[in-house]
Amino acid sequence: MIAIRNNILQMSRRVLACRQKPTAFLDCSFFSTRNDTVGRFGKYSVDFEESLSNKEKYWHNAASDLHWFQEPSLENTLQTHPRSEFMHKWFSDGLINTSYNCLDRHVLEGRGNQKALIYDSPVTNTQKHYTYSELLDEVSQFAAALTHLDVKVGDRVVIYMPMIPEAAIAMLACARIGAIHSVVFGGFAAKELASRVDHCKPKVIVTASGGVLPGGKTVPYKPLVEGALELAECADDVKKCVVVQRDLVECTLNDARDVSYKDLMDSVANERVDAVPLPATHEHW
Amino acid sequence: MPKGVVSDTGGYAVALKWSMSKFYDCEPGDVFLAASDIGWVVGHSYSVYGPLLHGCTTILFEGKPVHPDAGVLWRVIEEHGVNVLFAAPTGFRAIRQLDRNGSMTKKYDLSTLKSVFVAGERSDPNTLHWIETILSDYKVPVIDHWWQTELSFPGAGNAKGLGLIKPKHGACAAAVPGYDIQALGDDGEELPPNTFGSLAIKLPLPPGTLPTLYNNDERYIKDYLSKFPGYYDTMDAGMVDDEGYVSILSRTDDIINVSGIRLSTGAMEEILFEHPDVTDCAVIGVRDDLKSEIPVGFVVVSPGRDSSKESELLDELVALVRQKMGVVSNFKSVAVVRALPKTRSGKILRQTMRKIANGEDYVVTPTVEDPNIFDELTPFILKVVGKK
Repeated sequence: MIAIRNNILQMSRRVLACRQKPTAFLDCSFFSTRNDTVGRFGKYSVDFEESLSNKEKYWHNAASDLHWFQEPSLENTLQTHPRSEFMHKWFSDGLINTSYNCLDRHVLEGRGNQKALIYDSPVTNTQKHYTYSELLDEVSQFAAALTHLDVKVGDRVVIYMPMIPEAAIAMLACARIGAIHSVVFGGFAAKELASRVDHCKPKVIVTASGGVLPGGKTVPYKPLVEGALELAECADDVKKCVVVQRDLVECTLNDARDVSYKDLMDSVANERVDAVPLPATHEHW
Repeated sequence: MPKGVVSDTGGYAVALKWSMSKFYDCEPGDVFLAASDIGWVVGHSYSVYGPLLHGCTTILFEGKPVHPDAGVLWRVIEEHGVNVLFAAPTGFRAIRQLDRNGSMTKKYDLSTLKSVFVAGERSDPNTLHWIETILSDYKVPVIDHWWQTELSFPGAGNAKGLGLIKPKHGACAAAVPGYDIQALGDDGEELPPNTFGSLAIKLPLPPGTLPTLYNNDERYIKDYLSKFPGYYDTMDAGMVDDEGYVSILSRTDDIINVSGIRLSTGAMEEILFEHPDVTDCAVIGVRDDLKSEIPVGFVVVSPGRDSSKESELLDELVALVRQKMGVVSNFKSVAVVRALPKTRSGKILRQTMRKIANGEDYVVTPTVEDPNIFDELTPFILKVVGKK
């Protein structure tokens, strides 16, 4: 009750302040959400000041929490882009791989048996989990599969997927070999998917047979991908369409371009690809 | 044509790794649930890369926060021992609409939960307060923070890993380290503290933020760096106070001009949310010959509400805004609707509503959650603005 009364008091003070200063009432929001936090305002302030007044040192120090194939130098931590004095590049002489930092590094440091990813799907009533070792294995294998599809550093891959583990695996596999992923929200219609395909000109599209909505209704993705490839001007550049077949959504693969995720993975059952050192400025997504 | 925001490899990884401990206060081994979609930036950064870079366990959640019931997030938290929950306010509003008292939280043991982070659509304080209330047994801080796809990690908010700072009314705490956020006037001058203006970030942006747009440096410079030379234009409006607290009230285009006074429709929405029957709302500016623009509100009410008393509710809402913001708000028109038009990520399509109200042509974005919603809403919009 006291809190409420205080709020009302503060509210009325606010209203009064508003009336006296009509241009300032844009900040009239009346409820504080918490009154009991006390901060180490000091620690925040130290970091904030340092991050602005000594930004190269601050972020160079943060970079040391990651694994680098070639550590970025302090003097080249922040550089102005040749294109414009207002554009910048960070860590431009460093070589790094995000998939390595997400997976290999933790396995090497003893987290191999820890769960890395838990898939919890109330709409399909399924759950699955991957340890760091398992996820590393699957990602390295899919990276091998992408390599077989001739995906190279700098090539684009469109990922058009529901929230299933293979979506994250595809992203991490792209990062592993330096392919730039463009994740398109599952459920975008064919026309939107086509404009994104034309925008980034992917060599491969990774998709699934469909999405599942609450209540069990399904949304087949494959007809949307086919529709998009009919509309897209650069459709011929798309060499392969990898489809994760889901139990709840049927999908026939009739195009020579199509391959199922499982068949593709089986074809590289014994292959794994290591993380590629990439320039820090390499586009990730 | 898609905007084509890109992210680099090194800066993005450094910023995400940093944010996991300094902002989200996570330890390696913690369990992180970002109830988003991998198609959105939150899904990239905090369903996949951030938690994995930090050696956490990430949860990929395929579903909605109210299916099969309004307790599903609480079930996931108990079952997997989630330590940090990150969700959009629209998800919590959907839960609130079905379970106002939070009784579903009592069915589960949520003792692993350390913090709740909220971002996406701007959060109203009432929703934050509601989340905190239903989780009060666990004393979990509920932390609002401000994001943009372009930034790829938080730009302002309470950096829990550096110690929570005392919250202030209406502010989402302070700029995240690395961001020099300034409120600018129309001519690009830095405004004094406590003055409302266009929010911009003094260049350079920190690592993790967009280096450019895909294959299009020119458009990046034109869209983001040209309006205020030396600054990145957030296209959001707000202010910075004398202690460095940042308030973000609206997109710049959610500021309306009523008889020469600049008002935030977001501030009006916050007031509407204070009414106990309002579960969702949107306020838009509609062209007016006399006053330039006037605000018009749309509210969604709790399912239990007696619909025969609608006109009383509308009177209460008008009175509430006029009492709290003043008559100068010119808030007179409000309608009850079944649902608001939203994108799949929960953003209300205010601009499209505004175009309908102004009789302009509009295109329905493909990200709309329910493509038929505008057919249903248009008669309500036209009626409340007096065009039908």
